[in-house]
Amino acid sequence: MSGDDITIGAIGGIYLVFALGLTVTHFYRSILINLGWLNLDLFRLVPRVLAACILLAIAFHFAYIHIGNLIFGWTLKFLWNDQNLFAWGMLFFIWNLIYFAYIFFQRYRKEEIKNLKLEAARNEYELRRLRDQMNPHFIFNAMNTIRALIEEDPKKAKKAVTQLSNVLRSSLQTGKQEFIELKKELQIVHDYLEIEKARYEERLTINMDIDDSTLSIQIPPLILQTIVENCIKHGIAKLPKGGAILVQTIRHSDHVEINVLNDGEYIPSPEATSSLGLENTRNRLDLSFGKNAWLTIGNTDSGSVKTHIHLPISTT
Amino acid sequence: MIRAMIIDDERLARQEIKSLLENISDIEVVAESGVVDEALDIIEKENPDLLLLDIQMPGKTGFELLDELDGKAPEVIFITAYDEYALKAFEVNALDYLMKPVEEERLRESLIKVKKRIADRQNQAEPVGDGKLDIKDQVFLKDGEKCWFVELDKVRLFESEGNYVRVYFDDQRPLILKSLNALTDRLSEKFFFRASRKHIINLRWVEKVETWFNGGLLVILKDGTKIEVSRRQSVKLKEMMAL
Repeated sequence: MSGDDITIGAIGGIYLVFALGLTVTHFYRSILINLGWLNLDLFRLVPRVLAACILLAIAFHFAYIHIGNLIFGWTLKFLWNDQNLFAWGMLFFIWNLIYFAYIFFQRYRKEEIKNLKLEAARNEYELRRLRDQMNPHFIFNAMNTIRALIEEDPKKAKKAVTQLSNVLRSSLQTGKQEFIELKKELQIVHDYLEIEKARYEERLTINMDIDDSTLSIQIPPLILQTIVENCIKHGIAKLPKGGAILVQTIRHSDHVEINVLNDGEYIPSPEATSSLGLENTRNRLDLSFGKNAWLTIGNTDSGSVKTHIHLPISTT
Repeated sequence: MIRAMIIDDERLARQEIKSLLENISDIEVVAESGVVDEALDIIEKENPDLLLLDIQMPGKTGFELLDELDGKAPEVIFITAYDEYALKAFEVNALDYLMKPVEEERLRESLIKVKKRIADRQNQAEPVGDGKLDIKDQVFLKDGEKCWFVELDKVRLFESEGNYVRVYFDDQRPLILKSLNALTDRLSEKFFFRASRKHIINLRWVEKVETWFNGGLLVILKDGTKIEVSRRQSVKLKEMMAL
C-alpha cells in the first residue's frame, strides 16, 4: 500500500462517514417519527434512544467497514471490541440529544404561542362581557334624558343621576360575585326601571308584585336585570304607545318562581345573536343550579310576553 | 332661515334638541313629532328644509320614514345614541349624524354644512315651479339595508324591472320599490324624459341622439349607455329638441 493510497483511503473515509451518517440518521428520523417517539414522555423515551444508539452504531460500523473495503480496498474486519463502535455510539447519542432538544424547544414555543392566544381570547371575551353589561345604548340615552331633565326638573335629574350610578356600580361589582340576595338584585332592577321610566315617561308603566319571603334567596347576579332589560328593549321600546312591565316573585314550598311580564309579542329569532342575553342567562342558571333551575319564555293569552324563572330554594 | 322639524319618540330628547336650537340663530323649529306616521303627514304639510331625525323609534326606523317620503327628501341630520350598525347603512354618501347627548358645537357645525348645501342647490338651477322633482332636489333611496341620498342631477337613468325600478347614478344601481309611471308623474318634464315603457332618462346626461329603425331614435348617454326611444316618444323628443 503506497502513501497516496493511504491518503485517498483516509479522505474517502471522512466522506464515507458523512454520507453514511446522513443516510442513517435520515432513516432513523423517519422511523422514530413513525413509531411516535416524539409523543413519548422522557421516562419511556430515554431507554429507546439508548438502545437505538447501540443499534445505529453497530449498523453504521458494519456498513462503514464493508463499503470501505469494497470501494477503497480496505481490509478491515468487524470486531465487537472495536473502539470505533463506541465512538459511533457516542456520536449518535449526541445527534439524538440535539435533535430532541430542538423538537422540545419548538414544541415549547408553539405551546407558548397557543397559551398567549388563549389568554388574548379570554381577555377579549371579558372585555366584551363588560361592554355588553354596560349596555351603551341604555347609558347614552339615559345621559340624554338626564341632560334634558336638568333644565326641566332638576330634582328628578339629580335622582336619575343617583339611580344611574347605582346601576353602573352594581353591574361593575356584582358581576364578579357568584350569588347575590334577591333583595339587592331587585334594587338594581328598580333603579334601572326608574331611569327608563324617566326616558319613556307615560309610555312605561312599572308594576312590582314581590313576595317578601323571597327577598333573602340567593340568585346569580344580574339575571333578573338582564331579563328586564330584554323586556324593555324587545317589548316596550317597540310599541309606539308603550306598555306595562310586571316583576313578580312567588314562594312555593320547594322553589321560588320569578316572572317578568311585558306588553308585546315574543318572536323567537332565528339568529343566534339576538337571543344571546337569554342564552347567557340559561347557561348561568345551569352553571349555578344544574337541572334544578330553568327559564322559559312565551306569549300569554292576554297578549303579553312572560319570562319565567324557576329556582330551587337552597338549603344553605 | 332654516325651517327644521324634530322627530324623536322621546319627548325629553325632542326638548333637549329644541333647547339647543334656541341658542342658534337662523333656524326655526316649525314642527315636532314622536310618531313616524304622524311625522309623514306633517312633513307633507309643512315641507321643512331640515329633519333632525332619530333612528331607533318604535314601529318604524328613521330610515323607513325617509323611504316612505313621497317626493323630495329634505336635508337630514340623524341623531342617535349608539347605533354603529345603523349608520353603516350609509357607505356611499357622507351623512350628518350627531350622538346623544348632542354637543352644541357639533350641532352648529352640522347646521353650517346643511345651510351650505341648501344654498348650493338653490344656485345650481332655476326653480321650475311646477311642484315636481327638479334636478336640484335630492331623494332618499333604500335598497335592503343600504341607503343613499342622491341629487337627481346625478341620476342618468331609471329602468323598470318588474315592480321595481333600478336607479343608475355614480357607480351605484340600487333597486327601489316604485313604478316607472309614478316616477314619471313626479319628475319634472323639463329634465326627465320617458323614453319608452322601460326607461326614463335624464336629459342633461344625453350625449348624442341618432336615428333608429322605423323613425325611432337612439339616445346615447354620457356614460355610453344606449337607450332606444319608442316611436311615439321619438316624435315628442324631436318636438322638444326643436325648441
